[in-house]
Amino acid sequence: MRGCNAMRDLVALYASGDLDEKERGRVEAHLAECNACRRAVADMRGVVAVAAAARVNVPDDLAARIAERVSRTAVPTPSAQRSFRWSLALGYASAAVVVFAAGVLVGTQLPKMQSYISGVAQPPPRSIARVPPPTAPQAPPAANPQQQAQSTPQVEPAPPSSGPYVTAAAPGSMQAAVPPASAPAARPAGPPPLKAPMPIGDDDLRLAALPQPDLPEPGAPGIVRPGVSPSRGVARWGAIRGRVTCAAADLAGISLRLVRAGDSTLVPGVLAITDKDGAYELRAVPPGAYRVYAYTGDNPPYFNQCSRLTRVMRGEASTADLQLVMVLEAFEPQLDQVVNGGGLVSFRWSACPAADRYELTVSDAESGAEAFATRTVQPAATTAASSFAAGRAYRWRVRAVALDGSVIGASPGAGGQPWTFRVE
Amino acid sequence: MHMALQSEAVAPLPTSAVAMARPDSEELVQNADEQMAARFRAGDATAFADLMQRHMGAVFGVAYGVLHNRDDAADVAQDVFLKLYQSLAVMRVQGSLGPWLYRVAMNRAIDRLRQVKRERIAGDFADDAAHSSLGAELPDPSAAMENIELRRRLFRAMARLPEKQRIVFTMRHVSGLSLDEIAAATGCATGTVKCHLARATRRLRVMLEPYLGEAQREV
Repeated sequence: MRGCNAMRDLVALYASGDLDEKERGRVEAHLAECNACRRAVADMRGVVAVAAAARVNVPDDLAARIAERVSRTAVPTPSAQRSFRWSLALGYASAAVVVFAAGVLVGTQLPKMQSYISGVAQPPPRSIARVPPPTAPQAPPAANPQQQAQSTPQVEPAPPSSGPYVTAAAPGSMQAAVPPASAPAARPAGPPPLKAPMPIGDDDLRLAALPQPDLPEPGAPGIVRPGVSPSRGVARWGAIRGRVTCAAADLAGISLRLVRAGDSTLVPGVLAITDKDGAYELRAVPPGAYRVYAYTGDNPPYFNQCSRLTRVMRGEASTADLQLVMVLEAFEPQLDQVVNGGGLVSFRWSACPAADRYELTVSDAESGAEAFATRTVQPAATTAASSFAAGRAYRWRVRAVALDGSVIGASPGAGGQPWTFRVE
Repeated sequence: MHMALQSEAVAPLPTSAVAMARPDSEELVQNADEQMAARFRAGDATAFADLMQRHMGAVFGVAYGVLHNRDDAADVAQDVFLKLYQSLAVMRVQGSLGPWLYRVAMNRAIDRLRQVKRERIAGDFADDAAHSSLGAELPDPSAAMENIELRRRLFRAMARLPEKQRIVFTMRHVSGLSLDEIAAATGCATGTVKCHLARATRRLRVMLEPYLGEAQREV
């Protein structure tokens, strides 16, 4: 058909529904007389439909996770007029306040200090939280060396009398949304909100501002040293903690390895074993993105499984919990069994402790089209064999679902022997 | 000081230098962002949550379009809103925040993509399937009823598309973004987006033709 070449992009957009009315009219006129393009539209609609069926939804917990991260972040002072430079100055000024307050609480130097601050930053910062500095904070370069020298680690929260610079939270500032006390509490090793006013979310800055963690050096006794060369800057590690849960079993002795998110390779030397409660801790983990891989043994009643992606920051322990999924066993129909087409097909499978219900899906083994689906409380279900076409292979799957909706048992998936049967 | 757009790195997609297209959403919607930003500055603790609710879906969709992985996309979305939170006090909000957010999300996602340089771009499913018989993310109940095999083929085929086509196609059909939102995220003109989209669709059809059964054709 002539003109197809000129139309082909329009035809594609027509199939995905991205044309306005005028263009649609043009394409439809062409389709009316072009078989090949009609076929193309049908195919491309199929492609789009498959993609749309894989539509991703925002993870349920994303809003909560953002809120949590935001609450751990110190708050920039809401001030429309302040520039970036200002906020840096304020950052240093507030750092100086904390360092100073840590050293000499209400001392003879206070007036001098105030003048120092006001020399750097005016108007005075309104929303610097009162923080008990966890350890001696790293003083920023702007701080006066003399004051640094006088600061001592044993500190108390600065009393309100030490001046408005330390305690006053401006009314209506975002401190209302995030109570200042909660920020240090949420992450004890976390930084005081000195860097608060930095409006640029620069990860490197954040990392640099972290107090150095109290972690064993790699190579220390009892610590398996991961495969990172010591020449790469300051070697500092993170950790991953978590808990392995499952339907019902002895949870001790499940081994956990670390898989790099990027290339899916195992991190050598990092491993942990669960205790009797299923808790584990992977230590001396280089910063990066990982999944925790649970290996349940040679004779697993559970699937080997990877956790969600988890990021490890130096000096921090992230968590990764794993819900193990029990391997269900098919009793009937057995693998590739031929079922009498005249009567009923009954499905039976092994029970999963703690299952609230089972979800059974039967689909055509070749096309994947669903033929039958049901939910039951018992590990069994029955349906008329007439639901299935004679001579075709069907695949059936079962998922055991707990009360809270999590999947705790399943028939073998992509890696295992699928459960299939035929109807004669 | 106006730091809204300057502070983010230059467009990593070398597509075109066309200025950022702004979605033609109704004026009301744009004003809503301005109002929320004003409320935020006035100390209203709920304003940020409102902003988040409004834009989270699209921001996540943009990140997913680049990364093809829910966990990574969620991480990027977190970074983006953290940055918004830190910038909101000092940035001037005019009109919708959407384009700025999408842009930040896009840049962050591309950084992340470079970082992980995954072979497993073939999507959540293939990724998880590679790790274990049942992945970290089990397909949800409705997904179980879909044609998993065809979907996996589609994601593999998408991974073989040229980068821009892959991103645009994923954003449009898997993330469900509008053409304007995609234009804002990629920094392309809407026409360019359409062009990538059409080419991606045609190419995918060629790659998947043998597997498209009658059932799919009739959709």
